[in-house]
Amino acid sequence: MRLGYVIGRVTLAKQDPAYKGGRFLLVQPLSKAQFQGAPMTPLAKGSSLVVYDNLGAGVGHLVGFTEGS
Amino acid sequence: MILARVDGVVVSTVSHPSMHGCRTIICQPLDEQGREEGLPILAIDPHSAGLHQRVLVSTDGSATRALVGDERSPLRNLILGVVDDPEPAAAT
Repeated sequence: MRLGYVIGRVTLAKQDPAYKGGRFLLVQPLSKAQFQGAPMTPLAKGSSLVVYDNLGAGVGHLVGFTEGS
Repeated sequence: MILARVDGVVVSTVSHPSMHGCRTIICQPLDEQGREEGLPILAIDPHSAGLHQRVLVSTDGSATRALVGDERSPLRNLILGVVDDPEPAAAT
């Protein structure tokens, strides 16, 4: 469970029906400085990841996300 | 299980239904010397740990799912206990 900043959306032409009702977001995990109040831009270093979301987050939102099972 | 320091609280208006009624906190993992190790993580906190207190965090998803009573919950990290500290370590 980590915090990240939504920097984009991923749109699929075809997808498994299991993902219906949600969307895929491109999320950049927060850096240590951003946890302490630094602005979200410039973006933190490190790779971003694609996160499934069915709660309705959008670009520019701060989100919590989970990895693994 | 990891040792961590409580660095803050997360408040979210929209969250997964399994999180409703749970306090979520930001935890900074610590090494054996008490130094910060890696990036902060989020955890569910049923023990109401205070700011800068040291806590034990379980990263076992099945234990957290059992606690919230939702087999499909996305939650993973759970505060197991608050470390006995004479004085909470301030953030460095």
